[in-house]
Amino acid sequence: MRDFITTFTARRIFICVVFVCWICSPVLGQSSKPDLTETSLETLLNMEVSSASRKQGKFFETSAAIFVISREDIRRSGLTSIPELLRMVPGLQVAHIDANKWAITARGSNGRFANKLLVLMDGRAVYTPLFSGVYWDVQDVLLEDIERIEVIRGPGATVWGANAVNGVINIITRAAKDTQGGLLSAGAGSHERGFASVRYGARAGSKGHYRVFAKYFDRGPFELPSGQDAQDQWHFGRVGLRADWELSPEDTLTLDAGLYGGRAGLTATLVSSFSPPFEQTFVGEAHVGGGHVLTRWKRTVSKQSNFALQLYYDRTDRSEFIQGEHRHTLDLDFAQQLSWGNHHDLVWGLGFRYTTDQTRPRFFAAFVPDSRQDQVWSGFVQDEIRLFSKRLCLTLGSKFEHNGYTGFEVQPSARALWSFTPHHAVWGAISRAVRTPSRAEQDVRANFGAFSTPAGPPTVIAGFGDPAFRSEDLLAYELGYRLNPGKRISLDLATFYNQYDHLRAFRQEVAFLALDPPPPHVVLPLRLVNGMRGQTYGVELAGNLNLTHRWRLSPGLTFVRQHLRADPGTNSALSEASEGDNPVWQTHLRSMVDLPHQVEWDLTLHLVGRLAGQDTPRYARLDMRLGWRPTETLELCVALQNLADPRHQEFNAFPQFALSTQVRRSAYAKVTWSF
Amino acid sequence: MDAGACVPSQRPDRPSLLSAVKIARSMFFLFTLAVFVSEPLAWAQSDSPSEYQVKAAFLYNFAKFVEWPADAFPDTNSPIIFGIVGDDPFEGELAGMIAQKSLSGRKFVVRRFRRTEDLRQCHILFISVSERKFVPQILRSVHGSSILTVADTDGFVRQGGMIGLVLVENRVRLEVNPQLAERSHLKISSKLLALARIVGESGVKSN
Repeated sequence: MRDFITTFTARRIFICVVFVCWICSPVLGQSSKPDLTETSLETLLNMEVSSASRKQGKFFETSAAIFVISREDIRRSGLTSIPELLRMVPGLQVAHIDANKWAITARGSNGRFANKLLVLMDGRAVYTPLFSGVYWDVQDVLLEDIERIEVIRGPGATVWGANAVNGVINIITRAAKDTQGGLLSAGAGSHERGFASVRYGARAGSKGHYRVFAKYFDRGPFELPSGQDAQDQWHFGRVGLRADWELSPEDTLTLDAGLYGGRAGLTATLVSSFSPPFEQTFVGEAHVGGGHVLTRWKRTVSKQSNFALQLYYDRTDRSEFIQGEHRHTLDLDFAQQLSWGNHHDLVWGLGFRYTTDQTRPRFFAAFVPDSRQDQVWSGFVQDEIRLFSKRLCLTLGSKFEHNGYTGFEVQPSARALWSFTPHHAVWGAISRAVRTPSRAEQDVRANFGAFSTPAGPPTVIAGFGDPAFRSEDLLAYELGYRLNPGKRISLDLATFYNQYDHLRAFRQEVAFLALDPPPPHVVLPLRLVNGMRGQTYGVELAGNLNLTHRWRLSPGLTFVRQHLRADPGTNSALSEASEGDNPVWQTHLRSMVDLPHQVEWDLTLHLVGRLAGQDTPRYARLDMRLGWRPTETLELCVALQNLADPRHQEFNAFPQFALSTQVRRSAYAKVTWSF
Repeated sequence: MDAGACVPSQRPDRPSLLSAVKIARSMFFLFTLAVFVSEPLAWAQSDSPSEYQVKAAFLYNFAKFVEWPADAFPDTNSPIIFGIVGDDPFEGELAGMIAQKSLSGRKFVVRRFRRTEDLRQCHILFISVSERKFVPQILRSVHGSSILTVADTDGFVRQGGMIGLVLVENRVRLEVNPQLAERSHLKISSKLLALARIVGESGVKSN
């Protein structure tokens, strides 16, 4: 058989047959359409339509590895927080560190302060420049108000800018006019000890709409390996407002504001003095709070041109054992879209961000200077060129950025998508992205460990930032394939090969004697330097299968492998340790079943491989949700989570400055009433 | 320890290059197979119509359930003209659907208009979503004539349109302002009105 296929002639015949099938398919497709003109009005009104095709069309034609979490996905997952929702995205690595901390990344390099992911909430960047990481505990909204979460794996730096190195997560909430009326939801359970939210939306004058919401939750602790409660329970309160006005047929104005506060428990063992016993275990709470105000003005100039101007202010306050941070951020963005000719779609933009912080020194870690102001100027331009009757789409563009750490950065990318039938598309991309230094990499001093020596003063191992620390570089090659033969099946395959340079590494420097703080001690400095290269490659597969109109299956598969190579002169064991912080294999399957009488039965199974660099074994996670909608306005549901084992650990890397705890089996019940 | 695996001196030799070609070839084979298998799958999937197929069927039904004044047609055999202003969201589907149909001796014709053209040469005017910013302007330009105005843009009926096609939970719902139609001497059948959400004059706030 194989010989037959590989003979030249046979292959040619084969290709001809495929080609003929492809040419004929639209003609044959036409004939199978039902005649709707003979259908009664009543039937037409009750006919479910596949409106998704247009939206899917947009994503189908994206020349990047994109995955979209829809409102339906959120509702039927039974999950209660944004980081947990991200588990359903193939290509993302999501792991609990403790009850209120997560390690989340795309395409490798995971950790509590995973620094190559950009997260935006309605256009507002939410990573902290202190570590270039995201405090996932404070990223929350009313989940019912989320329109969708778009996740782009791979560099999105051309449009989104620095830190969009391994991925961009874009959380988009619904317009105020889509959330009119009231919503009450409340529930309680074992880990979810109690939660409640209320939202109300109404008209704001004759041209606008608004909504306000309030939300509170109290979540219980995870477990220690001994079976005892870990002290990582947490509770948060949040209020928010969104209003949209159609000032004129051309202009819309959006106002979005929020305020939150909460406490999150943790246990951390940290160096607390330079005399024995050196370390102390702190058990307590992080105090966090913050808020934001955002306004956006969108104007449609003509069919070919529109622009948006956005301004926001964000405040973050955080106080915990390892550090304290108070930050103000002001950000102004302008973007314009222009279509010219039949083939070009141009987007360009300018941005300015000002951020100022005040850190609180701790014995464990301190920043020098303790307060710093930074400005980032940026601009981008991207042209989408559609050729051969829109079957080929080329996207060329670059971001230009000037920041206070490294000066000028250029991040170009070239992408191409070829939809050679309406149901198949291949795409590829080559992009450069940089991860600009975090404040910590230039300014921190952290005391990782201390011990006494038999003869002589105590010795302290301390990490030091380096003002000369520069950006980490990525050159990424991506290749993807999409199959979307109809509503029943879709398949999205993405492969990538990432080449990193100037990655962060630890260089051991000459020991010195320090007198302050007493007692006199020897410091073994570990300097943060750009001293490592690496490659990451992998395959990500997302599928969707509507077996019947009542049963949907969504499988996902992730394979990722990372090789890091520290330069000579650096501490390779320490620097390369993060190589083993990602599971090589991860897979999941979601099943959504609509039973009679408006009952929904949903199951999700995750299988996550072991983390080779840590003592974290592989684990399975099984979630189940049973929902019932007796009327259109009332929903009752019961969710059971982590059914596969009584407890498991998901992440335990060094250094994360918080004790890893174990996820336990849990259940909750919830009532949602809209009016 | 396994750093040796990455040392560039171990350059790939011929056998691995050959196997790469083999892998590429079988990938190509699988890929063509995928095309081959999935195309028939695509044809078979016609169980649920698309949004605009259903909306086109509604437009056809409007011709059946709306009565025009006699002076709206030059003679008893002249066709009922569907006008589409802006991009055609039906992608030719509407024309295909009604091509062979007729209604009490009248055939159907679909005409595409640009916003700047005279839109009064039709009986049912569908305003495409591409023209959503110009809805008030378009409605003004056909004001006073016996044209049934239909659109699926947000708040169309509140803006002064006659029939709005609204998508609610993946189903097409109707919003109708019968008073407005009446003033244009159009009679919408009670059967249609019974199935629609009636938007009264009070709903007409702007324009």
